[in-house]
Amino acid sequence: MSKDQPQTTKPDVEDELADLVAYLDGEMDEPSAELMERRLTSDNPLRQRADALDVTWQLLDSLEDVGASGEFAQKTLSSLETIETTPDSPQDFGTRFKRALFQSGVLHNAIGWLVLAFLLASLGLTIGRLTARPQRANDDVQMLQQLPLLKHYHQYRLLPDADFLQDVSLPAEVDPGEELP
Amino acid sequence: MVSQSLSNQYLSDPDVQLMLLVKEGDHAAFEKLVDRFQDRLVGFFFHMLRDRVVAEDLAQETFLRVYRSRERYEPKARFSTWLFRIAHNLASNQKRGSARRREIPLTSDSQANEFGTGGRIPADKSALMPTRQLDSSEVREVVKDALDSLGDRQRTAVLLHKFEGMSYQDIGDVLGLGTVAVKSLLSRARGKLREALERYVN
Repeated sequence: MSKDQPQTTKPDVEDELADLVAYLDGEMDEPSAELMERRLTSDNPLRQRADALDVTWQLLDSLEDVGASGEFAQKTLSSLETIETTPDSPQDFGTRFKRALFQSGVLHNAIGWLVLAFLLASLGLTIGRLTARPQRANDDVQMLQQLPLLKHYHQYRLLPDADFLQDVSLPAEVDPGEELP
Repeated sequence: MVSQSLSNQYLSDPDVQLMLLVKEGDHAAFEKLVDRFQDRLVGFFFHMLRDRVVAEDLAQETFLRVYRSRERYEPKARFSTWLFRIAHNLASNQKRGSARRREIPLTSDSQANEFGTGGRIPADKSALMPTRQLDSSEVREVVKDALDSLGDRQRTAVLLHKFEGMSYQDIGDVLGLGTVAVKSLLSRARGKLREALERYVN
């Protein structure tokens, strides 16, 4: 092979083989098949490859023609009865259980009850929220009314009791003429 | 609309029609399916595993699996495609199980046949006398050996294409491959077969 000639790479050879096999298998589209036919008429090595593929493929016909024995069908059909009468296998039980549940309506009833419970719970929560709002409003008003007390709480907490506070607030009975010590 | 046209395509398959009857509880329809496919399935398993007893067991298992799944059957492919997908999986599992259990044979090939490992005439024996015309039984053994040399998927593709007439698309459905991958798979398989068998071709 000269340096100028491109070397055939392995992917090229594999692609060519794949195209050849697809052509022999009738799996090529019309334009590609026509192109391959033209190549085969002029490319001797390619045609020899195609012939070898075809002949070795036909050799598969020499494999023995093996079929089912005479009692195969009867044995197979008899074994079906075992499937019908055997208690549910673990693999089938789940499927059958679900189907029975669905068909019996139990599932429908359960879903219905769940939906009803959800609706009732939602309704209860809504009512609870609505009734709680006025109470909160009352709490806020009460707090506003007691705001002065809260503001001076740090002073009031020093007082012993409320009576003392009242005594201090009343005016003292003092004789104008009496001298204070 | 596309899915409707696809399901119409499969509904035209007479085997799909039979299977839909089986789904409705028609036992006679299932008998017809067994009758139509029993030889093809046993032949497929035999050429995959080269053991007639195992071939019949697996063929029966294939039918049982079809029957068990009758209630949830939906025609999403041709019936034969679905059937051979089950068969291919069973064959692959069987081979994997056999490979794990395989022991080094201490007996001759004739005794090995008794255990279903298949009789083998070494290719070298014939190669010593390349000019001798092989008789039909020897050709068969050589072809069997050549087929055995293929990988599982290659072998399935070859058998389905050769004996079931399946298209690349159908083979792809069986093997879970695209058509390009099937094209590559088959071309390599046929290349290997050619290499193994060319010396026996005049």
